[in-house]
Amino acid sequence: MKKLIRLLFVGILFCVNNVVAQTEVVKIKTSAQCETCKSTIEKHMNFEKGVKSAELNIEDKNLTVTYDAKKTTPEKLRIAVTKSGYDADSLLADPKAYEKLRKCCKKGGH
Amino acid sequence: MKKYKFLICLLFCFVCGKIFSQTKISGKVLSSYNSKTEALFGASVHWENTSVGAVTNENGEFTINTPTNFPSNLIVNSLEHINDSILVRDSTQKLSIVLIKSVDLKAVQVVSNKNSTEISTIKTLNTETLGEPELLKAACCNLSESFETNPTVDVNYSDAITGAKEIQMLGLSGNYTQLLGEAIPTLRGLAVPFGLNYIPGSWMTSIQISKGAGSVANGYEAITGQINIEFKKPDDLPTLFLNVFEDSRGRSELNAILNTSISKTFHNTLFTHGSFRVAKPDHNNDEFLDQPQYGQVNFFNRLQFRKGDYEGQIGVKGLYEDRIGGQTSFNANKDRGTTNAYGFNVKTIRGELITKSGKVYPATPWKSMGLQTSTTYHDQQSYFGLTRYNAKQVSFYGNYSLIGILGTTENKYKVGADYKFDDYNESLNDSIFTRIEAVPGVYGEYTFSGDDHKLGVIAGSRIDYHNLFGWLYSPRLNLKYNFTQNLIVRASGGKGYRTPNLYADNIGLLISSKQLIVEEKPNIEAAWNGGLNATYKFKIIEKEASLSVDFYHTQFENQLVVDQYRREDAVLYYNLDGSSTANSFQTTFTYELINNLDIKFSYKLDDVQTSFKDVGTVQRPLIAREKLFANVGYKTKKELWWFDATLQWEGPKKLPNTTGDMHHVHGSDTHSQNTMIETAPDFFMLNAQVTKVFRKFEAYIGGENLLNFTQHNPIVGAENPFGNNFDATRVWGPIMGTMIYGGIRVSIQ
Repeated sequence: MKKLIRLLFVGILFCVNNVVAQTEVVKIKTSAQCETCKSTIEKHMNFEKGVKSAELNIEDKNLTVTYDAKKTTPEKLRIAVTKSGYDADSLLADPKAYEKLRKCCKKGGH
Repeated sequence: MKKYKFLICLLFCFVCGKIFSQTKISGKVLSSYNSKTEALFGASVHWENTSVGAVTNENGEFTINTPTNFPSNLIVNSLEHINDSILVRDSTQKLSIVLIKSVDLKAVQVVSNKNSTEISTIKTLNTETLGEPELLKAACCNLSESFETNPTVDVNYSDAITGAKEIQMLGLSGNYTQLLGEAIPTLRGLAVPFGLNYIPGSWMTSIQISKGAGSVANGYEAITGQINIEFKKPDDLPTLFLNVFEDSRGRSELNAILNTSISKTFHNTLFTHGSFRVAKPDHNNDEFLDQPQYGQVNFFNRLQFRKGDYEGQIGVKGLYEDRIGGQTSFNANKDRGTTNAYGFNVKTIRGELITKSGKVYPATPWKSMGLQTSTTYHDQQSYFGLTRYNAKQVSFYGNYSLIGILGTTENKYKVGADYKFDDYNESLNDSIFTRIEAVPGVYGEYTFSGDDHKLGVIAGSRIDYHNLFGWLYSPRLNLKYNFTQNLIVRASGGKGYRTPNLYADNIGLLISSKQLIVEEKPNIEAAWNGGLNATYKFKIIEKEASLSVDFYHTQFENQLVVDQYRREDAVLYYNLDGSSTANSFQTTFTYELINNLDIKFSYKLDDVQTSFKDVGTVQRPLIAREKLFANVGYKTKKELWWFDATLQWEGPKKLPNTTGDMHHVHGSDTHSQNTMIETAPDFFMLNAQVTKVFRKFEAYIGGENLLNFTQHNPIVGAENPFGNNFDATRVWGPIMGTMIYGGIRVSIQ
């Protein structure tokens, strides 16, 4: 009986460990130009798998993403940023997405 | 000696600092547009009358050589922005300049606004800004619903049949509040009864509500305040925006906004709207439709251009609306003009042409001039049972203004001249009424706003010459003082005027068996308004809270009294003989309870008293003396779900006389005597809404009047609409029960 309880306990621990996300934070430098870009990127990132929160500081253009390390990686997040039309660190923006951006959101467009 | 060493050291540091800073000054330039501020790249700064200048980097920062002497004016220019200048007194002054993006021609400066509703700490006027997040809380449907989550402005049905709505501010009818569309007076005169339905909700980006005496620059008409509507701006719009909406009472709606950049110089935005209701809801089985069937098509095309120092826009609005209602069995072809069944029909055609043009002077950036015009055609053909009412209004408004400074940019002036022309042509059954109003006017306004944002003064006066009523003088004064950064006190006072429209202002009275008796020729209405406001911002457990308290007093010098007390069988119109006052007290508390959960509570007391002939000075009918308001809004962390609920309590209201018991009432001691003036009960209203944001679109679902409270028989004498007892104006509560609605918003880049 004791053994069973112990087993159960270990089991629960294991489950909890599995369920509880491994929250990590990454900072990504973007090519955001304005407030509109900020909301575009944040909204785009919020729909990415594993993202818990995304906040862009328009002054230094840094995007802070809190994410679940079990579901995504910083690399995947950078690619996600490029797909919204913006550069992410050394990765260049997806050209198709960039073309669709409003005039004010393009590089130097401000 | 030690002491001296220290002093010398200090002096040295000081001198060093002085020498160092004498060569360069640095600062930052920000761009403010549509309630957002951001660093402005590429703005040029230079000292006035010199060639010493610099350009800002991508973070908006600049470094500039010091001028030859202090104080000196630093001039800041940037494309697409309104130029500004700042008086620099010494080299240690921290420079931070906010330029306003000029897309809206400086129509209204929208302040930075993180919350959905914001009371500015900078503005001198007591202004509440309802931003887009706030407007989305009441997704249904047009301007009349936009105030549902706001305690300042009330919206009531004017009768139980036509669906016409009227707003109330400071306890007085919306007629005394000036409506502005991007800073140009709009929806005046005949458009008043149904006008709120002419501005679709999804066209708007923000609404500014200013209480009390406003600016003199928009005419003499604002008595209780101004409501300015800003339409969505090109920069914030996708190529195509779509909104569809459907409610449980059979109303369908489609809004589409097409946003095109034609060239660098031209930009076009086309707003369109179509909506209809074919259902015939009659929830209380009184054989009258709760709301009329209707169809509306509505568009607004705004072409903006900007080239060099010139900018301008041309707006064209067009609207057609057909609403039909009354008894469920009414058939317009068969029953119109007969007593077979009661029906009403209003057909409205309306067109508006708006132009704005402005010039800025790069060399003297504080200077600008602008010309605004608006030309309106409004035609309404209608009947209410056997009563026929047709009306036409042609209006023109032109306003030329010049803005400049007196010495420094802390002291600004605005002077201008305007011209207002209205040609009214009304017919009620067989009587014809025509009226032409032609009013030239001039105005001047002085604005002081300290660079430290402490003291603000707007002092203005205008003089108009009205072809019917002679000289009209309207002085207005607004003061603001920040005792601390978080305690702001404002005071305002001023005078306003308005020409009443007997029938349009009280369209509901046409739906009544009561006789309309005009006892004397209406004079122009004139009133003084004065108010005080205190706003205090503070923190409770690290979360922002604010408390504001308002008191406003309106005193009419003349008013067109619409007397529904004296006789049971008639409504009497006459000029005020005695006093007419409105006292309005409001206190509002807002607090962010936990992250992303905002609450707002408000209490309002409106005491509105008018002298009625033979009756005395009593509370005006159908105005709730007391109101309570509570709103809760929540957004999930990633803002993918939004929740919002508003609970409102409306206190008892006095009802107009229909029973003929008024002979019991004498004099002003009416209150104490427990009169025969009937009182309507109080009630609660609950509205709620949920929005889900998807990657490509947003969907919302909501409910109005969720407690399902209704006034059971809003139509008196519904069983015999052509009898002596028929009256659809005694509306004091919701006519319809719970309504559920849903819709989606799609943005296509």
